[in-house]
Amino acid sequence: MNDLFQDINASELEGAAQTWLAAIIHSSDDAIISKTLDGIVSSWNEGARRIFGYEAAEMIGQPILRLIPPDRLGEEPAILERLKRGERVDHFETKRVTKYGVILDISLSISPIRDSKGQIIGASKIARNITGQKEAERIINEGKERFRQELEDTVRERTRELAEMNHRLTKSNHELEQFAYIASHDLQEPLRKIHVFSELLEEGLNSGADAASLAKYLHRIKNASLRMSRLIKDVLEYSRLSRAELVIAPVDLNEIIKEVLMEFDLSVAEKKAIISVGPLPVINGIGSQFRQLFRNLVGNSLKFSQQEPRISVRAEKATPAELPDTLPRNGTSKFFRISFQDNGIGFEQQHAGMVFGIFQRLNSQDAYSGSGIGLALCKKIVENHDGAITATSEPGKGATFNVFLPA
Amino acid sequence: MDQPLKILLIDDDSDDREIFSLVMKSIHPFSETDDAIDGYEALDKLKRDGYTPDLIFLDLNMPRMNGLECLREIRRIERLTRRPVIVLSTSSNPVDISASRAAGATDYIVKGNEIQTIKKHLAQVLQKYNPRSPTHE
Repeated sequence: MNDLFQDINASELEGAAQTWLAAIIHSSDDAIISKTLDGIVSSWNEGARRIFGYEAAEMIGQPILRLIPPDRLGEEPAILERLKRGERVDHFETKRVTKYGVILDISLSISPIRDSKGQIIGASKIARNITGQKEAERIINEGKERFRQELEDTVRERTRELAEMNHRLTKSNHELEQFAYIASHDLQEPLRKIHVFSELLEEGLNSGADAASLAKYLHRIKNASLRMSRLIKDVLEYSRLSRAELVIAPVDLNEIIKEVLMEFDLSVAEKKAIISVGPLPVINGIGSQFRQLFRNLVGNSLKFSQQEPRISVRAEKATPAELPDTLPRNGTSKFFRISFQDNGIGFEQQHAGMVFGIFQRLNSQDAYSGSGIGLALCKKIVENHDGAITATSEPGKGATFNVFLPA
Repeated sequence: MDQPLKILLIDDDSDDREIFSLVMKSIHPFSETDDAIDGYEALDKLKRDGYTPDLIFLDLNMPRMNGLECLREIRRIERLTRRPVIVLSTSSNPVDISASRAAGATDYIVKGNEIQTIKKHLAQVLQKYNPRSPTHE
């Protein structure tokens, strides 16, 4: 029946069990070590040899401290303290050093060994080499960290883009609101004139007024409607000015100014203007907008003159100190300052900010025609190119417009 | 015997100057409208000895010197401190109206779209502030 060991006595059975146990310990992958409560090694299995490199003969009788790296020597007394109290240490992850000086990641389980009376006489220690596992964890963690970092960078970049977009949108909404208000006010003006002069014309016709006054009213009506159509054209031009659909490319401003001066040939000759142009840079941007910018600035200088116009166009690298507040002054962003200087009628410096407002006019329509949109266009163009425009002047002493564009 | 009613219109808009003088002639044939195209020209005229218009009409939105600045300057001229100055503007914004009062305007007229309205408003002003109308005797 169930009496396989019936002929074996108790001591034989115990001897067999001991042999089995010794074989298990010998073949274990883990290091199985015992030590006294003073930390002296008392047994050392094959696994310990494989992991730490020392033969049993080299270790038995030696302090276990040989396995502990200098920076962790403090661990041993703490472990011994716990053992003396009868406590176990389970899966304690630490570092140990091999015979050859290699540092290993080790998981330690240590339990007290008691004698037949229950007295603690030493400790058994199972050490598992987890260096490979740790390395794999480290690689995974590094990957995770890199991924997290990249994700964070991407999120940060997207957030910044969104904030910038939001800022642009808010600004453009505000501009649009202002624009609608001003445009409607300015568009009402010629309409009101057309209405009033039509009524006067009607009255005149009914009362048999002379042809000359009737013609005068008609003339006023015609002018108002022309002004209105010019305003509508300018409003359209202004609202179309965006950088969305146009190609950014290097633009040689020397070519641009040459073309613009050719357009003004006639009025330069008429006004006996002298225009001097220094070497200009090549700037990344939208060619057609630069042409318009130059056309408006040169045109302005020609228009607001009482004597023979002297206009000078110069470009220089801008120093950080002279950059307007709206531009970054971190020193890494470089700008060109392109100045348009004239000897025209100028204006009070206190109005310098106003000249760039849409439909703002500093001079009467009678003396200097125009819808008052030219410099507003210049401002929008320059800002489309991440630049800024400023004006300095004194009445009668000419004006200087400085255009700052990223180099 | 009688002097014509002397009016000064300060407005940079030539259409509006034309409309004003036509309307003024039609409602008060015995008036003489002089004009200035901006505050500077107006002040030049007003500071001249012996030039004291009976009524001053003033536009607000003008280049160089706006109507309010001009009005404050006019009120600094001693013989003009109490002269009627009527603001004539396209703006019906209450902010502009109260700013005009604060700067010393006697009255405020919004520039009309219709000739009849313009006539009516100017006639009311003449009735109220003309120093030679019966109510002022």
